[in-house]
Amino acid sequence: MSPEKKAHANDNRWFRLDNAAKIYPPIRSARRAGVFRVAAVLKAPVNPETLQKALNVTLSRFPSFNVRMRKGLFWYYFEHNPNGALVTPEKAPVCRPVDLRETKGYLFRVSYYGCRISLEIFHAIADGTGAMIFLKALVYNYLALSGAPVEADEEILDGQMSVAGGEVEDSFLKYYNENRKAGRAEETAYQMKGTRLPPGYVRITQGIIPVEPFKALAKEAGATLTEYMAALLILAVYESQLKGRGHKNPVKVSVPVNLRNFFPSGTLRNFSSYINVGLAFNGEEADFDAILSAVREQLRNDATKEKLIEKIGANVSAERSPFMRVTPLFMKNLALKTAYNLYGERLVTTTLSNLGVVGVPESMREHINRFEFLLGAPRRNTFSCAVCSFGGQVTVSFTRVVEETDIERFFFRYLAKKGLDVTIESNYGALL
Amino acid sequence: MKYCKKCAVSVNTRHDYCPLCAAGLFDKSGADSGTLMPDGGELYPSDGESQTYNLTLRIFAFITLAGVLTCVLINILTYTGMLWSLLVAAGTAFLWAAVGYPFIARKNIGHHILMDAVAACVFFVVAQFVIKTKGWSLDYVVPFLFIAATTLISFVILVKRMKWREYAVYQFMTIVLGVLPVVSVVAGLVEIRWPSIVSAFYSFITLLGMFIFGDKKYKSELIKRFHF
Repeated sequence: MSPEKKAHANDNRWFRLDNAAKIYPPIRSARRAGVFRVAAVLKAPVNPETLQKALNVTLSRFPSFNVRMRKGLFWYYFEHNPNGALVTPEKAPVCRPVDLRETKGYLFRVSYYGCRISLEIFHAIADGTGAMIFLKALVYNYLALSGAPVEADEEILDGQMSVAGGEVEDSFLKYYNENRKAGRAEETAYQMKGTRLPPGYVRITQGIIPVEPFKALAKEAGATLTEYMAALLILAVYESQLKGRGHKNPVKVSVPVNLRNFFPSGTLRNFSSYINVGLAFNGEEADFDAILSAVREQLRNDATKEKLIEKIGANVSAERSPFMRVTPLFMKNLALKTAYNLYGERLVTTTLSNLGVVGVPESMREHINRFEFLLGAPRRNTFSCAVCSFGGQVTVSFTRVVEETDIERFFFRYLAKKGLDVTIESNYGALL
Repeated sequence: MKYCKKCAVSVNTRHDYCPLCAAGLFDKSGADSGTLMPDGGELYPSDGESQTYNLTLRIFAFITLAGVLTCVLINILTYTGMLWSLLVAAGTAFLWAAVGYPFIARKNIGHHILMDAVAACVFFVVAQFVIKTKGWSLDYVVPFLFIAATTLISFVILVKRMKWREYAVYQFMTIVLGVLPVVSVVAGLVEIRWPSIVSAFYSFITLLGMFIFGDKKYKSELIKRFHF
C-alpha cells in the first residue's frame, strides 16, 4: 500500500516529495528561499484570534500541508506535524525563507497585515494552484468563524468533505510515460544587469488593472492575457537594456503551466510544468507585434498534452533512475544544487506566472477586495512577475531585487498608454 | 490616492514620489490604502546571515589545519621512512569528529555515536598503516568499535524510550556497518577472523531484537527513512 493511500491514523501518515518538489530542498538557501505568496485582501481588518482558529480548522482538512520535512537516507520526506501552526503578524521581507524554528517545522507561514491574510509557502509543499485552494479554504473558514453568512461550494474544501486520495497524490507519477522523454538541452538566456539590493531586501510593485479592457486589448492583438504579458515583458527587457545593441543570448520568459488543465488531477501538491518562451535580438529595431507572434506560436506549440508528457517524462525518469535512487541524500543534494546553479535560473531572464481567475462562492465575494499572487526574490534573475485576477481586476505583482524600476515602469506605462486604468501599489519609497 | 502624470497611473499606497519613475505625485480623489507592507516591507535585516560567522570555530579550524600542515612540512623535510604526519592528520580529524562536530551540528546522540565510530575506525586503520605493524586494527579494533557503538545506541534507546524513533535509524545504520568487517574476512584482509564474525553476529542479534521488540511504528519509521 502506498503511503499516500493510508487514509486514517494521521500520525503515521507520511509523503514522499512529489517529482517537482524534489528540487526545492537542495537549492534552498538564505538568498533563494523557494517561497511564494498567495494572499487575500479582505474588506475589513483581520482579527488574529479568528484567523488562528480558522487556520486550525483548515489545517486539519489539508494533510499534505500539515507536515514537517525529514531527511531519509535517500530522499527527504514529509511526516505529520503535531505542533500546530501559528498565525503571525506580517514581517518583511516578503517571501523570506521559512524559518523552521519560528514555524515549528511547518513549511508555510500564515500572516496578517491590515486587511490582508497572506500564505507564504515553500514550493516543495504545493504549487500556486494548490496553495490558492488552501488559502481560499482558510479565508472561507475565517469568514465563517467571524459570523459572515458564507456558504461553501465546490470551490472550497471545507470540513464537510472528507479528504480525497487524489488531493495528496503525486500526479507526475500518474501521467508519466517512460517511453516519452524530452531532451533537456536549452540555450542560456540573457541576464539583466542591475544594481543589486542588499541581501534580504525585496521590492514589490503591484499594478491593479480592470480585467475586461485588458482582455479586450490582448484579444485585439489576437492573444491571451498571458501571451500578451509575456511579450510585453520581453519588449520591456529589450527597451531597457538591449535596444540598438542586441545580445547573443535570447530574452526568455519562463511561463509556468498548470498541468491540471491538461491532465485530470485534483492534487493539492505540485502539478505544474513550465514553458520557456523568448527570442534573441540582434540590434535591429524590435516591435511588439513580432515579439507577440513569436511568443504566441511558442506557447501554443508547447502547451500541448504530448509536449508536456515529454517534459514530465524527462523529470520523472531522472528521479526514478536506479542510480539516482540509491545515491545517498547528501550526494543528491550536492549534485542537484550544482546542476541548478549551472542551468536552473540561467536558462531564463524572468518568470511570468499567471494563476488565472480565482473563483470563490458568491457569498464570499462581498467580503474580499482582491487576491494577490507574489513570487519570491530570484537569485540570478533580477525580477519575477506573478498575476492573478479576481472581481474584475487583474493584479500584476513584480518582485525585484535590483534598484532599477525600468521593467515595471515600461510595463505599466505601456498599458496606461493603451488606455488602461492602472493603479500602482508598492513597498518601495512608501511613507510610513 | 495620488496620480503620476508621467506614467499616467494612479498610486494607491502612501507615496510622495511615483514608485515607478520617482516623479512628484499629484492628488487625486479617493483615499489611499496606507502602506503595502509593514515597515515599507523591505527594511529587515536578514537575521540568519550575521550568525553564520562563528569566530571561535574559525580560530580552531585555522589552528588545527595550520598545525597539521606544519607537521606535514616538517615530516617531508626530515623524512626518515615514516609518515608520522598522517597520524597527526588522522588524529586531528578524529578530534574534530568527536569534539568539534557535535558542537557545530547538534544532531541527536545516535548520529554522533555513529560518526565517532567511523572516525575512530579511520584513525586506527591509518595508524596501523603508518606504524607498519601487522593487522591489529582491522582484526580487532574495527569489529569491537562497531560492537561498542551498537551496544551504546541500544543502551540509549532503552534509556530514552520516548524518543526511540530518533535513534532507531542510527541503530540500523551501525548494524549495517557492524556487518562490514565480514567483508574484510572474505577479502582476506584479516588474519584473526573471530572478532569480525562476532561483530556481524552481534549485529544480527541486535537486528533480531529490534524486530522482535519493535512495534509497527518502528517498522514504518524504517520504511520512511530508507525509502528510495
